[in-house]
Amino acid sequence: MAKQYDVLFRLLLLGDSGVGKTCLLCRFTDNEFHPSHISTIGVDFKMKTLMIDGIKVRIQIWDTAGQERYQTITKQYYRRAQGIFLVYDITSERSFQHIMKWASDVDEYAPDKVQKILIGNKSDEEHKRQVATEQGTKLAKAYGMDFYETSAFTNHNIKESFTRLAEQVLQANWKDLDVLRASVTDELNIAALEEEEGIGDGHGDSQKACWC
Amino acid sequence: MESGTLDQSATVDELVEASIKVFEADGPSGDVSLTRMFLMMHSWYLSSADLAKTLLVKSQEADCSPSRQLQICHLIKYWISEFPAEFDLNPELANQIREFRDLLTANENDHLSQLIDIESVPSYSWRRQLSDQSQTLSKKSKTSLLFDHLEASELAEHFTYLEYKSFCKILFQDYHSFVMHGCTVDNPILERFITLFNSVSQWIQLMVLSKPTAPQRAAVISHFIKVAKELLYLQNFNTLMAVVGGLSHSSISRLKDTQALISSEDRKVFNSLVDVVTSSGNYSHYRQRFSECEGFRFPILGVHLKDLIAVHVALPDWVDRAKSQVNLVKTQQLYSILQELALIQTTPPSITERKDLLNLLMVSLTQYHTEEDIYQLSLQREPRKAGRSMSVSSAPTQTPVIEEWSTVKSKADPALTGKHIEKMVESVFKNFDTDGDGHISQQEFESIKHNFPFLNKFDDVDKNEDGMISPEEMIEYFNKAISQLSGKMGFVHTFVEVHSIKPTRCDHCSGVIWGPYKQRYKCKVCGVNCHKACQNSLAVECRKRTMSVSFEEFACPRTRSLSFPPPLASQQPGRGSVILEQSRGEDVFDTHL
Repeated sequence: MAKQYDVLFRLLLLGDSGVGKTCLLCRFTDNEFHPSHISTIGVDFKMKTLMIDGIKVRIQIWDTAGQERYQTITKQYYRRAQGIFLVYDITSERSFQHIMKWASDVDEYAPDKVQKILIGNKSDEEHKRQVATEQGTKLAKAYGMDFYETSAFTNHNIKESFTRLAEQVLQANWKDLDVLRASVTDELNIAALEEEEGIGDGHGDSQKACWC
Repeated sequence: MESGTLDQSATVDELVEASIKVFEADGPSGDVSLTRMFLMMHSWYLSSADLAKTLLVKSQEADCSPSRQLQICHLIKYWISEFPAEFDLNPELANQIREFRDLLTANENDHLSQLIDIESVPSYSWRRQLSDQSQTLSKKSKTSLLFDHLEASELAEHFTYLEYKSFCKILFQDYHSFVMHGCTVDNPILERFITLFNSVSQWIQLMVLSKPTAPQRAAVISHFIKVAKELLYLQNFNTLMAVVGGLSHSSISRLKDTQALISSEDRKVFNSLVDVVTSSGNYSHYRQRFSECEGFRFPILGVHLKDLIAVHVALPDWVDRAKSQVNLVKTQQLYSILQELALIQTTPPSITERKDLLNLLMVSLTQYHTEEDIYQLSLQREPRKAGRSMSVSSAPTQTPVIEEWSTVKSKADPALTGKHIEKMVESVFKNFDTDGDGHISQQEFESIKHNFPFLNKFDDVDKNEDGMISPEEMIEYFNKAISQLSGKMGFVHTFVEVHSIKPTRCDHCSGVIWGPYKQRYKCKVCGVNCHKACQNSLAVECRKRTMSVSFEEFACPRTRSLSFPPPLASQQPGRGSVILEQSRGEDVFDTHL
């Protein structure tokens, strides 16, 4: 079977409830769901493959939406993430303040090498802005992160920010790329399995609608 | 006929008509699945009162034949019988239906008006009260309440009982509100359920960390692994996730000395349990197992909440710009998740509960600790530098969990917590006062201690120092401890008194806060306002993420190692600007609340 990608990364979206994490993800993956049966596979967004420096990078993105209040559940995502989006909403000062709390959680629970990027979402809602672009820039600089203001509504900077984080993760793991390739074989199987189930159209009963 | 066109999208009116047509003169005929889905999901598109009004209008149209009127009344009857809670909890809807009924009675349509009787709908408000009142009679069992003697299966069953009970209070309306807000806002029932989940995880960590030596801690961990195994056996995935989450939390997993003492057998079991609830493949292992369960099963609600949010965000409500065509694909997807959750509420577990043990667990789980507190305790037990672990673990430990708070903290509803405590103390005395003299001796106390990781020394409880603990002393101790821990499940705010310069609305009673001196309490974290008198009854979530960290603490995390450059502690300009932003933020909250 031809390999569909060279390396697989897991990225995690973090931030307060309602900052638009799921919207970002939804935009990035062009609203593509797994069309599989909901009770066994759940609602999941398709993974996306990007070409970076001639390498096919498959990225799988975890979304914590709806689970922010579950301390133990969200912590489980951290451990296996290689890249993390810290997302706030430019129309919510509080979501911006909480970035520091999220960042210290990342520090506590995520692997040392994890790459981070700061995202100020909802840049289309300029009239409701509470966090100036400079504040975001400043915070990102202090933490040594890149910073993007995005809008899931207008599709502004979505692809750019996802690609940027994937690049950083690739860079950080460059040395271990061979090792990494070996370690993703398991994941590859799962991914292949998920895709097979997606292609299969045997779930004809009530779920026949097309998602795309 | 219409089923072909109603697959992907339909107008609300088409859906109403299709729902009416399912009924005949003597009730439903044929397939009610679309009707049922529409009745459950309609609130995504129009309010329940509006739906009732639409039906009323339709029944009064000039060309509405008597048989059609009958169909409409049967539809309403079906609606009431399938979703009674809505009619009890939504006064606007209830009024609309009563109006309809009066109209029918006035037109001497008694046989129709009898169909839409909502007066026999049971009251749901009492069921949705946050207090838990076990109705069962306490059995005269003298079995042990000691944690060390509790069977893993017994603990698993009682966790299941408590969590399932809390789960059964969640109604469609709560899920709907959660999905619409993307989080819990004014949603005490769901909030409470999630808090219970977190409390279980925390309690487990505390039980482990309460033991001074590594072998003792390892024994507690092994015991909880057994509990987790029992939970899987009971098909209670929710609590399983909470237990596994607690045991794999960094405050426990970092205890190297303790972890080294876990037998390889237990470790193997634990790893297999972790594998069941792993998030990989979008919880595919869990989903697979869950779908194969028969009989009682208890889902990891968090996973399904995530699914709800994902469907809601990813798919539009309407398929056209004019918002006339309902996106039935989305409706169907949401419905299948919600329907599955609703079904679980109709299949209770078969558990014989022991009231004493429930009381004990209730109070144990009501202790609210912050993640930071627990982590600190973990550091005390096994400090980062391996060499010092021996000396410290044998030293008397100060419990960091009970401490004085400088700010005014909101308390649990004192009456409610008080009741819990009284019941628990009653249970404790029944079971621990082994010589039956109405007092707990020092010796008896030592055995209770293990059930409460935070219970300090005998002397702390024995106020009058007569060497005996009376029930009153114990009640007083717990009341004090809990008020200091601000032990309300969920709604913990960090209130400060504020001079009210301009009138502000109270977020509890909606009344105006207006007065010359410190009438207004404001949470300095989430900005919520209320009267001084209302602070204890305020049921609004403090919408910061964890209870422990107030904003000041962001600036100087106490003991966490930071691999980030610490921008706020060392760079003066950065710090200044953030504090400035915070104070500016306060005003912003005021205007936006």
